[in-house]
Amino acid sequence: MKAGIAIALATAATLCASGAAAQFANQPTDGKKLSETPKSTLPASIAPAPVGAGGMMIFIDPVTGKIRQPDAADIAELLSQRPPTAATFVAQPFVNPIPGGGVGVKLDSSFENYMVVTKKADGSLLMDCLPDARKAADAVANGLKSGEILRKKEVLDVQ
Amino acid sequence: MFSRMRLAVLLAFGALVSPAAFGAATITIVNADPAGVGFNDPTVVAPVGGNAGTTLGQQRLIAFQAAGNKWGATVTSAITIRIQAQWTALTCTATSAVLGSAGATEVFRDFTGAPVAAHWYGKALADKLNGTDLDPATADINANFNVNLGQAGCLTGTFFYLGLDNLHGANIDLVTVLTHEFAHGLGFQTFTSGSTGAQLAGFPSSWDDFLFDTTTALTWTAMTAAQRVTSAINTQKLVWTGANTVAAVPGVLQLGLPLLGVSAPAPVAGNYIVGTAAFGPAVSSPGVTGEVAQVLDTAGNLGLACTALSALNAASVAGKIALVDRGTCTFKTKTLNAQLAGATAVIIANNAAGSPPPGLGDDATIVTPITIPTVSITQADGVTLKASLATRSRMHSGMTANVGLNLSFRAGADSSNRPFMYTPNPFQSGSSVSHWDTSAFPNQLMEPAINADLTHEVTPPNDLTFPLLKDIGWN
Repeated sequence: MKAGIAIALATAATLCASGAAAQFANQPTDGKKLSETPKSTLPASIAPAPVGAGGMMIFIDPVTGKIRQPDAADIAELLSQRPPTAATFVAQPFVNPIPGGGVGVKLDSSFENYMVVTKKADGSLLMDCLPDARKAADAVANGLKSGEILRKKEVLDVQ
Repeated sequence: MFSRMRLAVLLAFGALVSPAAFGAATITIVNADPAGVGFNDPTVVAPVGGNAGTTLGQQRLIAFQAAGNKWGATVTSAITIRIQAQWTALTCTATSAVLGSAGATEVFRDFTGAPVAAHWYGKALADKLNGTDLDPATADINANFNVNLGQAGCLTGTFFYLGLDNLHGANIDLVTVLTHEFAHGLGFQTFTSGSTGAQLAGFPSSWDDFLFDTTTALTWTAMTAAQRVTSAINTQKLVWTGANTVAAVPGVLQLGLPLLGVSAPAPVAGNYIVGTAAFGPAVSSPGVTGEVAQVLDTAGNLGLACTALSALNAASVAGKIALVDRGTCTFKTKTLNAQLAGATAVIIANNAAGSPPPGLGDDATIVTPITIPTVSITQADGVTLKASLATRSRMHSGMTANVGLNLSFRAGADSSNRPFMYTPNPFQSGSSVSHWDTSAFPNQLMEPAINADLTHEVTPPNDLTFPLLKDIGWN
């Protein structure tokens, strides 16, 4: 990670972990935020949704001081600062009355499933569906291991 | 708030919703992209594989519709199923990427029409069972897909194939990935954590009643959290018991599961999970039956078989099934040395903990034909068998086994036709439990990896996804 953006990243991480992140773009990243999203004036292309983010994150270039596109290392480092999503999820009771009774809970993006792909040296593709945002980010940063993917017709260890 | 704000945004960009409903349910793709991005990308493209869209954005939306249509023609619901979808920048490197993600936005329990009290149901299914939209302000499923895939630095040069004919070549078939992810959103997942065993807000998922551990003889609903954690890594011992799926298995999964069956001595008798080899003859039925002999050619009682076997070892394995250890040289080298010593089959014990045992890759530098079958077993099973063999005489082990295709099983299910869930050890965060085991064959849509040979079908005789969804309440 580049020096100088740690504060901005840490701030974003805190906001996301708390589920209280301001939405910097006009697209929510999960159902939890659907009814909370303010309209934005920033184009989505400069405020992308990193995998597993509970809300939008914003990255400040330490040199220019301007918002910029984060690279994979930025995102991986930011996500690594977050506690495991499964452990931090707090069920939010559904607030509106349910016709006929019942209980509802809004889910955050930790309940989504992430399809990850890695291209091997021979050009073959390995895929894995990882319903954990951090695992998905780690898999992208480090590449899927052969032990994590289907073995039947994929690249196998020879030794 | 959502409806007003979202509607305003969507109208502003001229892309409200795309109805994708021609079956027993209406599935609507809610285009949540801003102008010029994702579904609204104006880049002009040529039609491809039955996708007649003329812009990149249109083709993306048509592909989403196709996956939605597949499910809309399969499941039945009087309530429109809304999938909010957007294309965003997801994590990438030049060689790896998150393709996309999807999941249910909400879960409900104890609503009118719930088949089982005090169990969570994903929103789309809860709406269907209740007969009303339990939260009209919220979509049923949320989906994010990677807008940069194929560009420099994001799985460079490999793109989503947007055709509808599955002729994706070296690219990634978007419709297949979407069909898989939408299935998760429709309910092909537990909301109970496999890594901690914790139930969502203290209640089980409808899914958990059908997860049955054959070791403890308990469902996930009946287990403690600690038992669920153990069950989540109990490879090929966690099965799905739903009646629709069990009934469908014989028509979907191929008969025969590669196994190591040990018939004697009694203390170690039983079936052992194996990995198969990409070289030599395929494991077949009735397979190879014979005495098991351990190769001992290295200090520490390891039998690496990386060089020609000694005369004593050769005499020991001749006419028998050779048990060797993984390590130092290629799998094929070990098999070749055992074959040259007269072995009839080879079992390679893994040298690292974990389950299932690994598949065995080929070594193209060895051109000598391999004529005997080879399988791998876990390190733990290797320790068990070697401990038993420690009481052997040099020339007779007293251990009898079969390396073969066990016709009491279908590929990916137990002897009662209950499909195995994906429970690798160590736990692969998230992949576990909410997918079929990778031993399933033919390959299934809801295995953790998308296989290139998948069709777009979600029903028997091709696929078990819909039978499972029927088990939890769809029809």
